[in-house]
Amino acid sequence: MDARLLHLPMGVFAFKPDGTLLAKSLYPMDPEGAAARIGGLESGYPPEETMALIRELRGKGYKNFIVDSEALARSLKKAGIKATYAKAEAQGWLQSFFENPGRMAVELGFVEKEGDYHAFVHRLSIALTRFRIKKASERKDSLLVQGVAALEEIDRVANLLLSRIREWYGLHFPEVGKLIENPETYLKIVANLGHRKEFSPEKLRGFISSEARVEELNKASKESIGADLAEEDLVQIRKMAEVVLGLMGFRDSLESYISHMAEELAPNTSALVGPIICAKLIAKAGSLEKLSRMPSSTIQVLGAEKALFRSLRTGARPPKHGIIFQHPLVHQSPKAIRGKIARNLAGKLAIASRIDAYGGVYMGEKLREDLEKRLEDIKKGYGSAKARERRRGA
Amino acid sequence: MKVEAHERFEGIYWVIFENGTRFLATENLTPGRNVYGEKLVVQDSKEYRLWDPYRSKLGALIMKGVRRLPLKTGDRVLYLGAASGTTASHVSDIVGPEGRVYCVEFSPRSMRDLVNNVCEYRANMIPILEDARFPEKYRSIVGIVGVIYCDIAQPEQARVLADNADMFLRKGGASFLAIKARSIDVTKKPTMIFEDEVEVLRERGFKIQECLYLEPYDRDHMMVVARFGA
Repeated sequence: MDARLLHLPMGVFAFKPDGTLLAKSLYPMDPEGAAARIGGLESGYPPEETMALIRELRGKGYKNFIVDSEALARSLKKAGIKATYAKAEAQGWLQSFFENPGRMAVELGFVEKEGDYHAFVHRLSIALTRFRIKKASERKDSLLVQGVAALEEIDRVANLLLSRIREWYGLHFPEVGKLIENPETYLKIVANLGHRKEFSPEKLRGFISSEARVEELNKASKESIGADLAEEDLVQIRKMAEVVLGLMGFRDSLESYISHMAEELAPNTSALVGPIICAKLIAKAGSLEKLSRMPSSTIQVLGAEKALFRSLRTGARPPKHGIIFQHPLVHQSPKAIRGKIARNLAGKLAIASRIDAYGGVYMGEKLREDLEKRLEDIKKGYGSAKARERRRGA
Repeated sequence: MKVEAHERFEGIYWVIFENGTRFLATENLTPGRNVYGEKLVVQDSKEYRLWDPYRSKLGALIMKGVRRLPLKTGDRVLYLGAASGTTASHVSDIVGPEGRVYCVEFSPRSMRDLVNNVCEYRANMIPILEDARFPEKYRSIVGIVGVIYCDIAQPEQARVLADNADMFLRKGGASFLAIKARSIDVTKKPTMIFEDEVEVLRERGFKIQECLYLEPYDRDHMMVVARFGA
């Protein structure tokens, strides 16, 4: 015999296939408690009331259960109870309930008046929604997405502030800016030495390896055309340089944090393109699951949306690659075969992200090997005499 | 400054300032509290919330002079795509304490704002964190409603509205569909997109009553007002 099980806000209900109410187990009239039970059901932990009802029904001879939760169907099957998942059919008692839940709640004695049921549902839905929001933000890839966004913002901000310091310090000693390109070295010199009269070959050697450069800087510090600034003015600039150095240090540790997380979250994808590009792809897609649902053609151009939509709108040439351009396999190869490489890489990425999203084995090495073999063929095709001739003719 | 009732629509007001400018408003269900930074004005010990048509498509619809607005005190509304509650809060004001607004929203981030800033204080708003494409998932919470307001920016908006109507909307009930051309097909001409969506509604048993473009409040947006299964 079949029994249909349904979880409603008031409790668990069992019906015969024709819609007649068989049995029920009401929850206590406590919105937070009811929300916890429903939330638990969604996470794969059915409420006590459900299990008690199932036991009762089995005692009465009911063997097959049609339930409204896939998680529940699975765990019942594992426990050896015949169960399937199916959407609820609105007949009989259920039909009346769906049409007027408040009135049915009063009839069942769950509440005294309809307004009370509505107030119960209001608090229940708030508690249940809060529970679901919490579950959603506990997902690891949310952290990854935020981390990547933070990294990109830090890069922008650090760059902006670095330009400002170059201008500002440049009032005092403009020659340094031209001589020292490296941001970190420049900032360290400004922060540690400050006034140009503090510059000396011994001190400079602590920051610069090239002896020639040390010489030039030392000379420039004696002959600078910049203004002489007071200590209290230089202090501001030096403090700011320290701040940016701190930011850049944090940036490095953030990058390594993101790398580790990407390798843990998506080992196959990280093995193919490296953890940072992997993280950027996941961030652009929104989540690992979303990335896994994308066809490889989308992955190929993730990050090139401006060019993509422009080509769709105007019929111009479509972009060959987006974020994946950052991978050396793509940007270091000759322009003519980048499209093929990007396409093949995206194909493997689609496979890798699906394995990662749905909990599979690690086969990053095999994927990489397959890709490299394919790329060999592409390069051979490109370098062959026939191909060169074809290109010359065209 | 004075407050006047709207000529045709219940629960909606005009706030007229000294310099002559008119602003749409609804009576605040939760006096002293605003939702999205909107201005609160008091007259005769009643508090009103100014309704910004640039931030709310329903507000824009009214400013564009829609002839009939099937939304009144006591109505039960299923709101698909409630987001952070900007428009939904005004619907809540209009339907009042005897009405109900079931707010379906897919994004946990928006829903967080909706729950903490809006539903917590309004007993007539029920938050539902679900995908509107699967109405059976919230069937046990939502009963039968008289109005469905749909603003979900998805490619199959009309179909989603129709599926929800089949399950929840009573015969003769009203529906609002905000169509954003860009969400359906970024390359097709907006007018074609609007026609296609309206056609889907007709096929699913809706009688179209009014269609209005929302310019200048929103670009390439159209609002369709329809009656279900008349």
